Amino acid sequence: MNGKTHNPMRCAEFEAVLADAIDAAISQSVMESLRAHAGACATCGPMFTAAQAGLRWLKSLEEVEPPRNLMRNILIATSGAHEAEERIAILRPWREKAGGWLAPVVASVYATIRQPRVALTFAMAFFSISLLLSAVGVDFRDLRRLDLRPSAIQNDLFRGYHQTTARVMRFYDNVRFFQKFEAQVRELKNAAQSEQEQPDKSRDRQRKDDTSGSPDRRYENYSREESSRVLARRYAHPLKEHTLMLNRRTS
Amino acid sequence: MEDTQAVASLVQRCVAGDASAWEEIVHAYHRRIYNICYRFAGSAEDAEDLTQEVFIKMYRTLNTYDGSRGAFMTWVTTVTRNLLVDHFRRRKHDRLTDSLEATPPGEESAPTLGEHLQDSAPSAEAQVRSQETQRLVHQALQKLSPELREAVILRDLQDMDYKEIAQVLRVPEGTVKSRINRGRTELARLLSRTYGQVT
Repeated sequence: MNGKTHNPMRCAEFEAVLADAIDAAISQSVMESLRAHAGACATCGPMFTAAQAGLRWLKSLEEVEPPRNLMRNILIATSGAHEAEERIAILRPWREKAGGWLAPVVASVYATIRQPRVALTFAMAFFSISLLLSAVGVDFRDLRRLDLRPSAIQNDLFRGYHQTTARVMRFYDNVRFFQKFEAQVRELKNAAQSEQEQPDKSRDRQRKDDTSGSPDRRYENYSREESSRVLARRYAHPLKEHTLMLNRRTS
Repeated sequence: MEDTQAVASLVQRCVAGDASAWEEIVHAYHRRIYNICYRFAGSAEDAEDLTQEVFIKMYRTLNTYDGSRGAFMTWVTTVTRNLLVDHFRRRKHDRLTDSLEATPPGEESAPTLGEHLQDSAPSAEAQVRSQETQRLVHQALQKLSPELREAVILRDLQDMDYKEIAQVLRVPEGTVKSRINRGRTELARLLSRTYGQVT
């Protein structure tokens, strides 16, 4: 007790009831004791006055108006937080699962793509494809005319299949025709050659068959050469066999 | 005074997922929470952010509210106060009561609070009503220590009783009264230095 007075109230008691006294929540007798102490004590007197003044200052502060959109922002923030929490709860396991094995793969692919030679390869491939498509006649500006209906795609596929089949069949027909033609030409050529060779051979045979000097040799030639030649020629061509018969008769 | 049963029913509806119940709660309490935040934090921007944070926290923890342990208003104020303490720690503005010779933060070239009050008109009644005086009192309030500030805000601005304040601040009622007394006295001292009068 700083202020030495004859008042029965002490400073500690004064401080304990000060708040209630300011609120007027104490009895009249206690209030009188308090006032008496405040008037006599050099510490508690100014404190009592200052506390009352402080309360007045504080009570002078008016309630501030919250921003107009505060309530809307709160509702958006709370509903947004709720939705975000739900989304995170759904996505987190997938992200965690995928993140483990996907991260090194993505990192390696990214590191590869970043190399200049890969970019150059991509550019060249793009350039080549563009050239090829423009050479074929594909115009990307006409892509909107592309018919992507299932029935149209099916018709295109059937048409493509039948056109390809027809083209293959035509190719083999042409090949067969050329082979036949070539065979005919070869046959005629062989026939012409054999006709040219025939007189020479007849003369040789006449000379060989002249066995007046050596009858044994004639026999040998006949049995060995004549029979085999006839057989061979019979299989070779019927016309030639006929020619051979004529030759025999003449000989 | 809140109707305990009505509030309990509102909270139950909200926990069950009734969006309109939550809207009612926001509508009923956003003004009060904004004012507490504004008086404690000192700026309208911080108060707006803090109010939103308070409601987000309330939305997430509404199911933990137990009506038997206290009024919903006390619970809301406790949530607000905890966030304000966190905010205060984040900002590291843990300053004790400053003298009027100090200039407001960010206004070093500006006149001190004391000079400002001296320039004002002599009539206290007229000054109290004026916006400028309100601003200066608000500024003086920011110079109180956080413990004294929160006590006087809850008691003198939010009209909470000592028991509720003790519950919110988690201190005995006697400590609450002591802090309120010291807060009021300190505020008057800060302002009276300039005026030369406290009445």
